[in-house]
Amino acid sequence: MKFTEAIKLATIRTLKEDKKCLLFGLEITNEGNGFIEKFPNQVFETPVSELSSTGLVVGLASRGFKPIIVYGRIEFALLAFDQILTQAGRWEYMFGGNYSCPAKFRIQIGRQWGNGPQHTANYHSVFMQAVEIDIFIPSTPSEAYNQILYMSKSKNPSVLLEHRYLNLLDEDFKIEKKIKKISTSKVYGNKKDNIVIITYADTLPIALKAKDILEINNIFPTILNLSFFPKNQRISNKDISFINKFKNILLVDSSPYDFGILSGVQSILSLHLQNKNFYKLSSPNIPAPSSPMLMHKYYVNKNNIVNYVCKILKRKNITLSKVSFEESILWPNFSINKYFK
Amino acid sequence: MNKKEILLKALEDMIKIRIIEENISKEFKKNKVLSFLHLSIGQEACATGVAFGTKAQDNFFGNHRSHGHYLAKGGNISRMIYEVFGDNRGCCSGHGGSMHMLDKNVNFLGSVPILGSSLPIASGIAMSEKLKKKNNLTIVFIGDGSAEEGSFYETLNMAGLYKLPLLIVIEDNKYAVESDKFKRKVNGYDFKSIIEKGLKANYNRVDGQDFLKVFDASKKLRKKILKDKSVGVLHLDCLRFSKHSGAEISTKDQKSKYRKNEYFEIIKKDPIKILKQNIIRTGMSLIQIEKIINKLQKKYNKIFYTTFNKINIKKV
Ligand SMILES: Cc1ncc(C[n+]2csc(CCOP(=O)(O)OP(=O)(O)O)c2C)c(N)n1
Ligand SMILES: [Mg+2]
Repeated sequence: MKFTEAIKLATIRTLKEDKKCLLFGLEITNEGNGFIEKFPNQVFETPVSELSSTGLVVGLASRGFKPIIVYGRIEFALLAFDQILTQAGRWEYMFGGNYSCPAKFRIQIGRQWGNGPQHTANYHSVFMQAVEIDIFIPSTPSEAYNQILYMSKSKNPSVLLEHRYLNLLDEDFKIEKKIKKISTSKVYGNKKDNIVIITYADTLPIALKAKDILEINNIFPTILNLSFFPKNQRISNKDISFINKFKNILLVDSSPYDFGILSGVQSILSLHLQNKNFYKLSSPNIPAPSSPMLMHKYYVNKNNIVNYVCKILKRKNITLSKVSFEESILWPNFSINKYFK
Repeated sequence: MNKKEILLKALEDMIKIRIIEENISKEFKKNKVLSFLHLSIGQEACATGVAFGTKAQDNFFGNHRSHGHYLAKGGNISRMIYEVFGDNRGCCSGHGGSMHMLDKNVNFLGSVPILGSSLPIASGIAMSEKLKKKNNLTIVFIGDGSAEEGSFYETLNMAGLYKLPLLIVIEDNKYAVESDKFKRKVNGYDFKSIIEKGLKANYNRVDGQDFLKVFDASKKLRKKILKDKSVGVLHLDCLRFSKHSGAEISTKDQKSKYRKNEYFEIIKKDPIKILKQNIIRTGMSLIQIEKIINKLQKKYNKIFYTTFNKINIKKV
């Protein structure tokens, strides 16, 4: 199942299982989307009015409904930040408890070929200080599916950041009858070498490709991919203890590093753990360009990771073929099943 | 310029927009260019009419669909082509792409694709011009969809309050992507009452497919805005021939269900066809006009390919 399909099926399931679940968005009622035909009373087209439609959803959520609102890009949701952060994200505490606004904000985000500086921002970290909001950033179809089901039942306001770059990623997974708990992260690799690559979001497929190359060359890094950042405690004790098993910690981010999610993770880790070597790879401190060639050079690619891991572990360099233009620009289109053993 | 000269010059600008965009569309498809694209084909009379009805010292500010606005304002053609194809010789060094046009030399002061964002920015530009005591207009182009953002109403009120020389042009092609206005607006939604009665701004609504009507209406609004020190809205009913985004301009999209029966309207109301009829009324024959058009097509094809051939499409 592809990433986009997983999102759609999970959304359909929540609409079906709970009549109080409502779906809002621009274009959401288009024929072929498959929502309006099945749920004519639960699906609503919005005007091009992000702020007001978001406020409407917050109001509905405050009165017992479970609305989901979808935005095509994070930049469009920015118009509604008052409602997301200051209203939905503050009510429960501000009104002294018992007045939650469990609105669900599904926000598409991130890199996409040729989309340019106003459609590709990776504003993940801005949400992190909205301490009452659960933040979900799925990297795989099963994570997206399960997180949507989980958040639709949750009492907390929730933000799901859907990376468009992952749209074609494929995974076969078992659909559970009930989702009770979801994990904050997932580990890939056998922990043989003393290095953990911490990453999240759209970097996972790139890190997995790098891991493949390293393993062929007898280097065995472990990847810890973060995908759920619960309110109140963004990084879990379990994840911190896991990271503590490694001496070398490489943080790989598709966003600019400074004050992003992984620089936050690093600062929390350094409060808890001693004698660690931290390294990072990230996009530069400029917006993502529109030109495909400039974009090709902008994001961290698998070779950057391979080279850096070799350097950190003092292994000899691996001869690498160039990352093709297509590979760096296009959506990764492969099955990740083999990584789940 | 007499009327005939104006119409012939407008014909040139509309052919320029059409040919440049058709070639962009063709080469996008042929080379599978990976970049955003919103074509203005079908809406050429809006940009051209407003450019002709206003003055060189007036400012333009655009949206995601602004090739036409940029070209009608006299923006540098090569630098636009470079930008659209992601070449660093482009008007934004390849950083922006198709949705971000800029040519300060001709007072095209930028285009931004976040709907509604441009409105208050344009009012700020208008205010800066006013504070500098320049006697000019700032014109901002938005779509019918963008006019649903709160910033539309807020800007009208604020710019009215500060008496800013601002003209908001709504290109109403009825759609926001593929969502038609009946899905997005209350039954009976009345721009005229809201804008004129409610917000006390000047308002005029004309057929945006007809260059002459757009030209006349912009000229009159310009005068009124500068004289009365009040804001204006020019509402243009128009037709988008292309798909919302991407390089496709096809009857398949034009006939698709979301458009209802718009295809027949598109056939009937090509702005270039309407302009031709207007030129015939000045005494020229259709054969003479076709000859001119033929020449113009060749001219702009050549201009396009002179730049395009310098782009290494695999390397941009
Ligand atoms: C704030 C914001 N919300 C949503 C979008 C996505 N979007 C891009 S173009 C478009 C349709 C705009 O319709 P309209 O303003 O009528 O312009 P048109 O495309 O018809 O020229 C939408 C919804 C956006 N760019 N910005
Ligand atoms: Mg429109």
